[in-house]
Amino acid sequence: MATMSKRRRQKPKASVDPAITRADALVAELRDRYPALVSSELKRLIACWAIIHAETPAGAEDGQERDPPSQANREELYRMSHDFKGHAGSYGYPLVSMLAGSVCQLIKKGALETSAGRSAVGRRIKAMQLVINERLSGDGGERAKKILAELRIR
Amino acid sequence: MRETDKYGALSALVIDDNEHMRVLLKSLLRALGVGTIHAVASAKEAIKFLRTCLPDVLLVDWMMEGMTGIELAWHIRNSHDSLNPYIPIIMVTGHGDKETVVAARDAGVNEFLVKPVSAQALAERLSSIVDHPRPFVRTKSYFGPDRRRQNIARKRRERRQGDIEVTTPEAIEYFVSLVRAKMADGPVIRVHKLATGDR
Repeated sequence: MATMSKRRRQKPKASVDPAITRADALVAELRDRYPALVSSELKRLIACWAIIHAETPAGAEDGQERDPPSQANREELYRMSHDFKGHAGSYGYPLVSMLAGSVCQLIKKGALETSAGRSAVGRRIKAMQLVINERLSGDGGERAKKILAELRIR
Repeated sequence: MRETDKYGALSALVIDDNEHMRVLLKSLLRALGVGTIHAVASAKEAIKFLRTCLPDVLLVDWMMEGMTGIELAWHIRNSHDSLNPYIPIIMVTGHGDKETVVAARDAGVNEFLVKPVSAQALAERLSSIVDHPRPFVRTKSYFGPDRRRQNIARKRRERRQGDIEVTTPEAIEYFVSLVRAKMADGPVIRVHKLATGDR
């Protein structure tokens, strides 16, 4: 009797719309192609970061504060990071999206004007590169955790 | 008929300055059964496109260089040269905070799609537009879909009483309810324009 009433209470399983299934399969396919799709964009992001890094005066590595990068480069780095933040998650790379979003936040907070801030930005860009190149979709598993730990990203 | 089979006759325009998002949104729309899909890379291109072709729904990215998605939504709803101020707009954005949602709503956006975009979320927004279209209302400072979608009957009673322009049968019903409320309770209601839906 108890079994019967339990059965009665069970809701019928909702049928999955084949169009949604089809669309999800398509996203999975796009996820596999994502590293190739964004490779040139990633190169541009890294190149932009390299320019900003090169604007550093010679003695900066000794702990001196660095000259702020030009406004144009700062804006370009922000724009490209924002683009990654926008599309990476939708393509199944939420970790890239999170890292790119973190770069945006750091730039907004003026991180590019200090050595420590620039280091934090650089580590995140490096992590983005590794996550994409190693195709660490989703949460990236243990390998992603290791990368984030090695790069001291919380 | 499956939920999404009904979108075959639907045409959509994707407006996003990022190529990857355009590719993704176009692919998702196609997979969901939308019959005709166009895409442009800027709000300016969209305005130009809308002069020659009127799709049934727009998917607009918020953050675009030049004219933003919000500015485009406002232009479509309020500009005198807008060919269809009633066109449904889905705003796509990476920010789901309250301020962003309110700003989009106040610009006349119908639906809000927060990144990361999923097939399910997009299908729900399309369904909302197709199956539950909201009436359009006009106030002194706003023209667009009724911003109070939850519990419409209750909200109607609570709605602020100001200048309104009635544009749909549902809005006419609301207007009538306001007049009745005025007769019963005597609040001040100033209705200075009664339109038929044509602009």
